[in-house]
Order: sequence, then C-alpha cells, then structure tokens
Amino acid sequence: MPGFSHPHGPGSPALSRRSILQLGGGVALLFATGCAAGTKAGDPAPAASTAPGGSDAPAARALRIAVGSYLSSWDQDFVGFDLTALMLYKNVFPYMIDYGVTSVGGGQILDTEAIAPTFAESFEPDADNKVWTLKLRRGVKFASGNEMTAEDVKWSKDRAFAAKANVAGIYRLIGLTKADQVEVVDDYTVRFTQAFPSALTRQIQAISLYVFDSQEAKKHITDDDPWAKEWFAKNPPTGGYFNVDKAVQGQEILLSANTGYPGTDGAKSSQIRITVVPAASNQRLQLQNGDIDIALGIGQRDIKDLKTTPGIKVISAPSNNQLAIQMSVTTAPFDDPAVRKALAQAVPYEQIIANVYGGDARPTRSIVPLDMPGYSESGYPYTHDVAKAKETLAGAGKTSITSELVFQTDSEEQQQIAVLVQSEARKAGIELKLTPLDPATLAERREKKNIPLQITLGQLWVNDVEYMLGTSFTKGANLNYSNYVNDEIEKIFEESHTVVDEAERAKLWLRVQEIMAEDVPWVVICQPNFNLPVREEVGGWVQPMDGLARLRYLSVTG
Amino acid sequence: MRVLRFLLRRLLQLVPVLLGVVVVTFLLVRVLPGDPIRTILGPNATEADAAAARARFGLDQPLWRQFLDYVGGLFTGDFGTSIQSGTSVGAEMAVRIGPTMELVVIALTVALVLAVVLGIWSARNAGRFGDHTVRVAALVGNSVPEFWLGLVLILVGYSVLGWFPAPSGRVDPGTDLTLITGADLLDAALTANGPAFVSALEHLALPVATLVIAIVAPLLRSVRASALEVLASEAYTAAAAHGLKDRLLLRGYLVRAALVRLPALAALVFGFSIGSTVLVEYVFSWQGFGQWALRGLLYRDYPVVQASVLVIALFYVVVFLIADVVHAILDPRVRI
Amino acid sequence: MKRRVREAGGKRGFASSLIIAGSAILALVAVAVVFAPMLSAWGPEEIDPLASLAAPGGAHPLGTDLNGMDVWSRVLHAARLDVGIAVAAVALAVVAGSLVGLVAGYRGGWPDDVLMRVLDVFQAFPTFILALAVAALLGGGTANLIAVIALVNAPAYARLVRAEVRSVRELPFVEASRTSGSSFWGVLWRHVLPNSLTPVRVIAPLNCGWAMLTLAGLSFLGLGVPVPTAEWGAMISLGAGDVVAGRWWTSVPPGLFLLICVLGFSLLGEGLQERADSTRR
Repeated sequence: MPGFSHPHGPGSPALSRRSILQLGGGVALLFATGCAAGTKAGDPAPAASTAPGGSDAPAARALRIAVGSYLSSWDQDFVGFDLTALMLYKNVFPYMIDYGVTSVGGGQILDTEAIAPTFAESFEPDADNKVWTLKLRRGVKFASGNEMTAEDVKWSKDRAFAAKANVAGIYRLIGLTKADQVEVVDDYTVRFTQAFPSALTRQIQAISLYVFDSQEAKKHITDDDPWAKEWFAKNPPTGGYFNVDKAVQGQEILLSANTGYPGTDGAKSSQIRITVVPAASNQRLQLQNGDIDIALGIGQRDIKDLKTTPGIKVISAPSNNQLAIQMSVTTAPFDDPAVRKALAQAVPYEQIIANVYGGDARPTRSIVPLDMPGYSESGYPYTHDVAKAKETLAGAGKTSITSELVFQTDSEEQQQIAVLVQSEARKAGIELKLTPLDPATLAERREKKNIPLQITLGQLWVNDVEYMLGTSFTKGANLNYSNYVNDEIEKIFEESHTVVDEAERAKLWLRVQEIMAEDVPWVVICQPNFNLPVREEVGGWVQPMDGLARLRYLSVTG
Repeated sequence: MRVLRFLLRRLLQLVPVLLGVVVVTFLLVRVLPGDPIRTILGPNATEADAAAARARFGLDQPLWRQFLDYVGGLFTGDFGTSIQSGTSVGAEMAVRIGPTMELVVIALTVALVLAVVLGIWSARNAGRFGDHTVRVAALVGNSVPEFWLGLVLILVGYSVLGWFPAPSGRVDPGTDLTLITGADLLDAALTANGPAFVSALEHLALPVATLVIAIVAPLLRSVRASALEVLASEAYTAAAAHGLKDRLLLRGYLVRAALVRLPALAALVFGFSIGSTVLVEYVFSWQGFGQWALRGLLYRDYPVVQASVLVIALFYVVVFLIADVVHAILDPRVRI
Repeated sequence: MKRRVREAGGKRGFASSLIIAGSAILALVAVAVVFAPMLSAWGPEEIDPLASLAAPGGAHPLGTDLNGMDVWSRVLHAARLDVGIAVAAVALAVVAGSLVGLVAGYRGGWPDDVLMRVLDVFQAFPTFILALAVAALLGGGTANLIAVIALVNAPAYARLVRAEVRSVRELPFVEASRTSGSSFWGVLWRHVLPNSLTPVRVIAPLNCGWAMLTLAGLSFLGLGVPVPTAEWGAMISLGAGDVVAGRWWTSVPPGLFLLICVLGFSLLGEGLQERADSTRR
C-alpha cells in the first residue's frame, strides 16, 4: 500500500517540467546529431581504456560554446529556473547513473530505456523493486583529492531531505521521503529503500543521483549554515566529466576534461570554453565568423537563415518540447469548458507551425507529448476552425469575450505566437489583450494564480505520463498553472504509483487522455523541433531528451 | 582656498538632494509590481523557502529597518547583495562601470573637440553656407534616435561594408586581454597589449560614432554662440584691427571664451548621454552599466536598481559640480 | 557696420528658412497622420499569413516584418501614435509645469523652497532613466506614457515660468495694478503669463521632438506601447534582430520617419529660437 504522502500543497513534485525559458533571447535547445562524420558513440575507445578525450581526433583546440546567460548558482540543490545552470550541472557534477545512447533515424539520442551506471559501478533493485543498491567504483576522486565514497552519497541525500532541496520533491514520487531510507552499507555501497516499487525509479535517480564532495563541504559548514549553502552556491562542484578551471562571473566558464573519470566513455574534448552572449543576434554573428562553435540561444528567426549559411550546419531533431497555452480553469471566462474549447478551435495551429517555426515543428493530437509512451491521437480533437469556434462560444451563451494572454517579455518566439493567436481569436469573438511580463512580475502573478492565459514552452524530464500528471495536472502540482483538478485524474495518478506493468499503464494513460480531451485545460499547439546551429567541424551530438546537453560527447575537428 | 570653500559649500548642498534620490529610489523600486524573490526560487519552492530567501536579503524586515540598514551600508561602501547573482553589488558594478565610462568619456571628448572646432569655424563664417550646413547637420544629428542610428551604422559599417567588427563584445577574445578596470582600451594600454588595443578601438568606433552624432549639436550651438559673442566684442575687433595673427586671436580670445560656457553644457550633455548609453549599449551588446541596470530593473533586483540609480545621480551631480568649478576658474567674471 | 547688418538680416533669413523647412516637414507628417488609412493597402495590425519578413515589392511596398504585418502601413499609422502622444505629453507638461512655476514664483517663501527641492531631486535623475523607472512602475499604455513623459518634462517649464514670474512680480506696473485693485490671479493672467510664454513657445517644439525620441526609446526597450501596436520605436525593436541578416526594411523605415518627424520639430524650434535671438539683439 502506498505509504507516502500524496503530493499536496507546496513542495510537491519537483523541478520536473523544465520550461525552456528565454531570458536572453533564445530557446535552450536540444539537438540530435546531424551525423557528423566520424564520431559515433559506438566507436571503440582506442588503446588506453581509462583515458578520456583521446579517442578519435584529439581536440586540437577548445570547443567554444555561447550561452544566453551566466548561471545563477553552482548549487544544484537550491537553484531556480536556470537552464544554463542545469545543463552545466549535468557535466560538472558526478552523476552515478545516466542515460545511454542509441541511434534513431540517422542521429543519436539519449536512450531513456537504457539507463546505465557511469560514475557508479552498478545500481540494481532487489526482486520487489523496492530496495535499490548503489555500488560505487573504487578510487574515484574529487578534485580535492578526497575519494568518492558512500559517505558522500549519504551526505548529499541527507542534505536534500533536511534542507528540502529540489531533489527531495522528485524523490517523493518514488517513495523516498526520509533520510533514513538512504543507508550506508559499506564504504562503497549505498542502499535506497523506497516505500513502494515504482516504474520511475531509474529515470528519477538519473536526475537525482549527483554527489557533493562532503569532506570538502564539511570544512565550510557553520552554525547558521549547516549544509554549506553559501559555499556551494559560489563554488563549482568537482568530480564530474569536466572540472571547472575558471569561472568569471557573468562572462565565461572554462571546463577541462576530468582525467580521473573511471569509465571508458570519458569526455572527448579536453577543453571547453563557455562564454555568455546574451543577444541572440550576436551569437549568430559569432557563429558565422567562427568565433564560437556552438550557439545555445539562437532564436527561430536566425535559425531559418543559418540553415543555408556556409560553414554552419543546423542539427535538427524532433523533441518532446511542448508549446501550449495554459488556460486557468479557475478564472473567468475560462472556467467554462465550452469557452476553452472555443479558444482551442480558434488558434491557428498550421499558421504558427509555418510562420514561427518555418515548418520545423510537429503537429500534435494530444496533451501527452508525441514521443511519450501512451500517446494517443484522440487526446486533443481540436483543429483550427473559426466558424466552429464561434458556434462553440455561442453554445456557451456568449458572442464575445475579453481576456488576457500573458507571455515572456524577452521571447520573440512567444511574441510572434501571441500576435498570431490574438489575430485569429479576434475573428471568433475572443478579444485578447497581449501582456508581455518580465520575469519578476510573471513569477508573482503565477504565484497569485491570476493569469487567465499564458504561453508555455517546455518539456518534461521524465518521459512518463505519471510524471506529467504529478507535475502539471494534479492538485498543487508546481507547474499546474491552469489550476486544474479532476478527481478521476487524481485517482489514476495514485494508482499509477504502484502499477508497474506497461500494458496496464497504457490503459490508464488512455483514460487520462479521454478526460483531457473533454476538459481541455491547455491549448496544445505543437511540438517544435530542436534546432541547434553549430559549425560544421563540430561532431558527436547526442540529443538529450531532457534538454540538457551532455558535453562529453562533443568534439571539434580542425 | 576660495575654490575649496566653494566646493565644500556646493557639496553640502548636494547632500539633501542625494538623500532625496536615495529615498525616492528605495520606495519606488519596492512599489513596482513583481516579486524579485520568486525569480530565484525554483517552481517547487515552498513558502518556507521563500521566507528563507527573503530573510537572506533582509526583505523580511520592516521598511524603515531595511532603509536604515541600506543607508548604513552605504556609508561603508556596501551596496548590498544582488538578489539575482548573490554577489556583492559593488563588485558587479565595478566590472560594469569601466566599459560604460570608456564609451561615454571617449564620446564626450570627441564631441567636445568637434564642437569646439566646428563651432568656432562656424562662428567665423557666420551667416554663410558653411555655417548653415554645419548647424543643420548638427540638428539632424540631434534628431536621430540613437538606438536606430546604431543599427544603421552596424548595417552599413559591418553588414554592407565590412569595415568594422561585428557588434558582439568589446574586444576580440583571441587577443586575451586581461581586464583591470573594465575599460578595454585603457586595460590594453596598461598591459601593453597591442592587438587588444587595436581590437578595442575597432569595436569602439561604431558605438562612439553613434553617441557623438547624437550629442554634438547642443555643444556646437553653445560654442558657436560664445564665439559669436567674442567675435562681436570690442576687445576682439580691436585686436583684429591691430593686425594680430589669426592663431593668436584664436587661442587668446576665441577658444577660452568658447570654453567658458562649455562645462555646464557638457555636464548637461553628460547626463543626457547616460540615458543614451543605455540604448546604445543595448544595440551593441556592450555589457556595460546601462544593460546591467536595465536587467536589474526587469528582475526587480532591489539592491542593483538602488545602486545604479544612486550612482547615476551621484555622477550627474558631481559632474555638474565639476562643471561649475571649471566654469568659475575659466570665467573671471564669476565670483567664487 | 555693414557686416553686422548683413548678419542680422541673414540671421532672420536663416531663421525663416528653418521655420519654413520645419513647418513643411510637419505638414507632411500631418498628412500622414490624417490620411494614414487611405494611403496604405493593409491595416497596421493586419497579418498577411503568407508573408513574414518579405522583402519590399509587390503587395508590400516596404515589405513585412516578423509578424507578417505591412511595414508601410505600420510606419504611417505609427505617426498618429507617436505625434499624438508626444504633443499631448508636452502640452500636459507645459500646463502642469507652468502652474507649478507660477505658484512657486509668486508665492515665494517655503512653498517655493519645497517645490524647488522636489524639482531638484527630479532633475538629479537623467531624464531617460526617470522615464524608464516611472514607465516600469505604471506599465505601458497610452495614457500612462503621456503621463510619464509629461512628468519628466514638466520641471523645466516650472523653472522657466518661475524665473519669469519672479522677475516680473517686482516690476512697477504689476505693483501698480495690484494696488489699483486687480486680484492675484488677474495679474498673473494679464501680465505674468504672456511674458512667460515666450520662452515656452520657443522651447515647446524642440521638446516635442525630444518627447518622441523618449517614447520611441521606451518602446524600443519594451516599456512603451502594448504589443503589437504600430509605433516607431517598437517597430525598430522588432526589426533590430534583422539587421545582422542584412534585412533593412524592418528597422530603417520607421527610424527614418522618426528622424524626419523629430527633425521637423527641431528645425521649427531652432528657427523660432534663432528669430527670438535676432529680434532681441
């Protein structure tokens, strides 16, 4: 029987839906390889099996990446909505397990089905799937010289529970709520005893099993700050695939490959230089001039041009990034499902795909992302039909309504979409005032829950509907901006915690989509493909399904 | 000595004004809609987390307490901690002021030189075609929206002609310039880094040109007016009649007289150019003070906004003060 | 002697040409303002779904912007907003500022001191920064923008009028009319105000130009008019990202129109000032 508390109220399921926020003008992008010649993840590492970076072409020069903003903190436990930071963490924190790589349609992606130990030696469950044992490798060291032991894992997770880190929220989903559920068995073994077996364990642990250097941390503990929050916020972690050689606040970060990596698939580039270039047009210029190799933060407008620019290739791949308008079901006039349906019928889906994304987006027929197991075409039966929209609105007893469409002030993409939606909705009698909001006001209004319509663009970290429900469609869920609550959905969510059989789960998800099709809390517009413009000499891209680039696969020739 | 007393007296008059600025900014920024704490917390933050964050930045204290803490901090040079980055506002500002000062000082200097040269030339050719052209050209320059001008210069100078570097960054990263003051030209000179110096100059060209074109008009008008006055004065006419050489006339009479009114005007223009700088920095991605302050405003980063407004106001009044003093020194008619 | 006469005459001639040139430009702008809908084939916010960032030519004389809206139409319609807001703001600034200046100048004493200190604090902020802060506070929207720009410009007029009032109030004829029974306001109206308005009249056109630049600047930074209203600064902001791609039509035309409009005001103002100067000699 589920012994964990239902995720009510604040502090419930965690940092899951990482909305891809545009702060400086670009979408943090996912990318799949466009098949750079020569570097495939399956290549056998030559000679020295423990020496990373030396595999194919030894990187003659540093790989240069531009990002839109500097990271806000080095402390993964307490960081806010910061995609640059989260991407960096994946590469500088030691994660015990991570996704494997598989080839799909000529490109490479991270394989959510094949999660394997990286820094750890193994991570296996017992027969019930409730007790998971993590075995560490021996002799793996942090940059300080301290060895990575079970004590570090325990300290890291104690911190998470005690100080209510982001990770504690996610752990709730797999039944880990107390520090004593994490036990040190011996110096290299840690045991996780979940309150119930869950199908999400591997995926959730892939996100959460990162480890701090606890011996180093203990030197910086004070009475006021027993978990060294101050120190960790300002100082980069060590021990991951890359070490941070230099970090200049607001400007650049230099990474070098961690030669102490115990596995065989270490970093392919020995040096990576990350510079902060807030303006998207400047990133484009630098890319064109060859001043940078990868631009993380270029907007749609420039991507169209860059596809035909010599020397540059745009790595493109389908993704689970969802573009939607979340409607607040507790705010008039969208508390009436008929009005929500009317808006869903007034939105110009094809126009948005064509004009904003240049055709580089997939239309979708469900609130469940296209590539998520359980996707069904019946989940969202609404198409662009202004006449029908007027009809539906009339059916609700209204001929015209006025409301407000909120979007992020720095996002050109969202502005374009908002303008298109406003123009078409007007034809159906829905008059929308466009309100771009700066991050502070947006956060405040989201907290007050007084935003009738807002454009959101983001994707889930765990490719599972249970996760989706837990983060976006249940009571108190953190990303539930539409304030949606449905009793049956709550029941299904509870049930899904303990249902492990795939077929059974699929049945549950079908029912979820049926309900969603009727309730329509979101206008699901499309799933934009990920496009990443890089120099042609860059190779090795592996598309990360969580949007966070694994820099260790990258290399640049010449 | 008298100058010092004059200075002191004026400085004392400054204090209430600056205090007013501090109070107004403090209140204004807290009245703005938007919660800065929410922008640094993750979406799964609890009320306890928010409260803890607020306490960390002293925002849970009553308003008067916050104000006193802030002013107290100012006396020790502590501008507070940025909510967004968690680092000292003073430290962040130090990095940002250099590039902006570099831009403004160079632009103002070039504009002043241009104004003096063209203004005097214009006065000496008063009423003729050259004079009219110069004046109208200056007027056109003053009517241009500087952010647009910057874009046009980029379009022509970079996209079309390719003479100037791309508007990204202040110096070519390949030159490995070590930053001391943040003003790249100065740092390149201080570290004797030739390529960096050249690169910094190239990158400065367009933004400086933009600012100069925008601010030269009022300066030119003032110089011209002063020069005209001198040219019409009896002393000058007498000197000219006595056959004094041109150069002597220029140096002895015109330049000094023209410069007399300039400090006050330069101060005015300096203030105006600070506003323009925000826009120009935006267009050229200069990563200077203006952009930093703007970002602080967008994120309601209270300490950053307070610090930037205070510094701007401080600069503004100090520059006016310096202008007054210089004017007093140059113009014998002014009693100190 | 001859040179001086020629200068004076030339000055007036130059002043006249400036005034004529400025007025001519403003007349053209007025035409655009009044006849905008008739001069363009598309609405200012009408989206042409097939053409986003289309080059000039064909159905769109100046091409389209990122949203697929016709640039020529937007540039014309923006004139209404920019000129309207600027003129309204300056008018408001003149009225409010003059009132404050009148009261301060005539009353004297501590109300005058307090008002002057307040104005000092205002003027310790570079005007654009002040406009930024207040715009962020009030949010966008036409009425708010007029208020912001008026607020930022009013102090100058207050000072001007106050100075005039102070210099005039001691004059014998003012004293005389007071002793002969005229009220305080009557004296202000008949004597003080007309004299004060001369410098105001000269400065106001230049101020309109500056107000338009401020409005455009605010909109450029996203703090001005609501999306997707046609306004020159907002158009330049949207088109800024096209410059590096070599697309000029989304940002150059609005800036050009803005420049011409401001120039019209500037020429007029400069001409008026030149004329005032030459008559004073």
